Amino acid sequence: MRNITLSQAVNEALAEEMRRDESVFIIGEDVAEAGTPFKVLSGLVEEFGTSRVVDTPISEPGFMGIAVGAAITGTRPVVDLMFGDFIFLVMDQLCNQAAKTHYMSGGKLNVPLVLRTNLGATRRSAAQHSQSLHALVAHIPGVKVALPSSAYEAKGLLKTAIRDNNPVVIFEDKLMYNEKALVPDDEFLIPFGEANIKRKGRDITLIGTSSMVQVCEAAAEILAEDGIDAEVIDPRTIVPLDEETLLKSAKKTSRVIVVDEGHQSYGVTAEIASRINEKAFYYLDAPVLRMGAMDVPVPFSPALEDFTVPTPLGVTQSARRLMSGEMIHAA
Amino acid sequence: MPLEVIMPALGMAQDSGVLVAWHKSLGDAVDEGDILFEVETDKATMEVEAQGTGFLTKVHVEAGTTVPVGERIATISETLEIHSESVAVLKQDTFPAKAEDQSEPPIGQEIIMPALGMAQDTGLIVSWRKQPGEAVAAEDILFEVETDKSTVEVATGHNGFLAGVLAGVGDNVQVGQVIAVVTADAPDVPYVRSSKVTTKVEKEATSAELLTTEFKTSLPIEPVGNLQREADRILASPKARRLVLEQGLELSQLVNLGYPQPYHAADIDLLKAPLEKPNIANAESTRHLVAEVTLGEFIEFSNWAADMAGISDPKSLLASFAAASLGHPACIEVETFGKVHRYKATSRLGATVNCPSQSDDTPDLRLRDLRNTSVKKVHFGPEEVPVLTMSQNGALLRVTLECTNSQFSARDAATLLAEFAGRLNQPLRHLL
Repeated sequence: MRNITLSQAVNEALAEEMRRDESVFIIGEDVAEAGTPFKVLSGLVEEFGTSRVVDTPISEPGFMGIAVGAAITGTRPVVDLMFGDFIFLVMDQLCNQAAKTHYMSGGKLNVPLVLRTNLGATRRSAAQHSQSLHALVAHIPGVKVALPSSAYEAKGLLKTAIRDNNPVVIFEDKLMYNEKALVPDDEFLIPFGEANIKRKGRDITLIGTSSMVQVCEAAAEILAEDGIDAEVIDPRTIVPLDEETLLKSAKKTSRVIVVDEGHQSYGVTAEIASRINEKAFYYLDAPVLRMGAMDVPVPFSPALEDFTVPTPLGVTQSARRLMSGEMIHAA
Repeated sequence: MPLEVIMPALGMAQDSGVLVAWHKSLGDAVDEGDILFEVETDKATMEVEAQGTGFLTKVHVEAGTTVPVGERIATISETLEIHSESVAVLKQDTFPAKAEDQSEPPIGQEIIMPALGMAQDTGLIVSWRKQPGEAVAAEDILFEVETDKSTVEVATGHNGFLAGVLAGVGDNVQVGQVIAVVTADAPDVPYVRSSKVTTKVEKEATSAELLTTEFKTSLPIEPVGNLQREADRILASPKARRLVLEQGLELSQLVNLGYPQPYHAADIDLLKAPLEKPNIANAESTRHLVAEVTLGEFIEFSNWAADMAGISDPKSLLASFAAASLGHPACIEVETFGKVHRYKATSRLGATVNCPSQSDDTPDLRLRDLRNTSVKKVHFGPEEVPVLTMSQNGALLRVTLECTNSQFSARDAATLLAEFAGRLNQPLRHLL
């Protein structure tokens, strides 16, 4: 095992897959010499050349369209979208074309494309470079959505995504690129649709995605001091979603909080909470709580920005309320 | 077979079109695909092609006329036999109509089922707004049509008299099919074609009315029942309800014990405990009940009471809680680190007052506060007055009630403990 950053893990996953399969190539803005603003792709152009690490003009719809066409005709593009917020620019290529081609061709065509992008606020990047928009994509049938929560997941999920025969969107947390985690020396893949139980517990289940897994783990530490034994689960992919593991935990603990950095309304937290409510209702001893980012544009002011995202303290407070048997939604 | 040419629906929201120009004249030979006429809608002008080959034997509409979608415009026949009336039709408003034979519909302006939607091929007639024989104006609503999307009122489009009705309420009619005839002169006897469907629908309507009547009869009772149910509704988590069901218990037992709602799985354990007690109870036995709660909110509440209500003595708060849990004003003795304070306590926080500890009154209840000691569990046995002991077990506060059978019935004991523990757990309940 080596302790490497999330950036390095992504870089390794790409290099390994590009060595293994020469149809894999990278396309996007500033991916070659610049190696992206987060320096995730540094060094790849030296090994694979500009024909496999392709810098494009500043036109997200353009290079996304090229990638979709290239994927349909036999290559495996890994598209780099500099900020998750730019996903609005590639929605047609991604959701109307890539997501539907396999279905509408009666299975004759595949679109083995990976769209790598990011999410996460509190980088002081203001409202147009701080959004967590994975719920928008997860809504569209035909696109898989992976949310790595550490370097280990980033590498294992990306390798699985590249080998997938249809579109996968990976949202990395842009604040975690320099965070280290233990990653195996040998090659490994993380299958989609398998949640990871990060911490076992019996009193309450905290379901977190991406960087919110850390938030849930920190909250669980605090709760443990109060004698509350929290279970922390990372679904790792929200499409497909490992319902079974989530439901099993919900039935065991009877209390669930779902934490995600996307906006709370109509978001990932709502979807997961709703499924638990539908399928584990008679095991619940309290309402399933959602904790997402506030329904506001991400503020530029650091003080305000920090206030908009779920924190360990916030999760702890909600968990205590659920544990106390308090009337959560007094009508 | 002659081919009827109707005003096509060229746009999504189009209900009529202006026939701008004819490209063929009455009697002309027409090939399929020939441009017949031009139509202008609010969006565009389009040329309409003939859908069949033959001769233009009838022309109902002059150039420049606004024509509702679905309205007949012309007829293409296989042979060139210009019908005598077709010339007259060009001056449609004065076209004479005579209802000669009641077995045949009268001749006049034919009203057809309009094309109201893009993909609609039939429409259900919901109601007729005019009676057969009645005078109608062009803008009068003649009938209502329901499609899969909406219900639409359709105007007559012609002045005259409703001389014939060819479809009844409840009939599902093909778009373009004639459903009524409007004549310039009043008919002697209006023509009505009855339909089995109509009768059936009427019968359904009758049974629906019956249902409505029955419902109305029961109405005065129904809301009262709902209100009662609402008031009786016990708030409990889904899991608590399931446990109660599985263990053959009743949530109402918890209500009777006075334990505050909503109930959770943990409360069900509480419910089981006092119920088991009476079985082993006898005249000589004592009662020993234990409750566990989290204490965080009580501390906050004490701080609030000190700041906001000027109640700086947390012991008097406890005394108030105890009196409220007993359900009557009482003399409560609070024992902390061996020191004894007596309170004349009522549930009103401000009204609880200190009284001299040497007072002769026997206290109704003793409250032994061992929270800040290392004593975790107590079993003192009954004393001359019932005793509530508070001890701390990690983050949990344990409340133990000890008394004799004669001091409290099992039920009163459970009520007292449940009330007191509930108040410590959520002090705001005390205020509510």
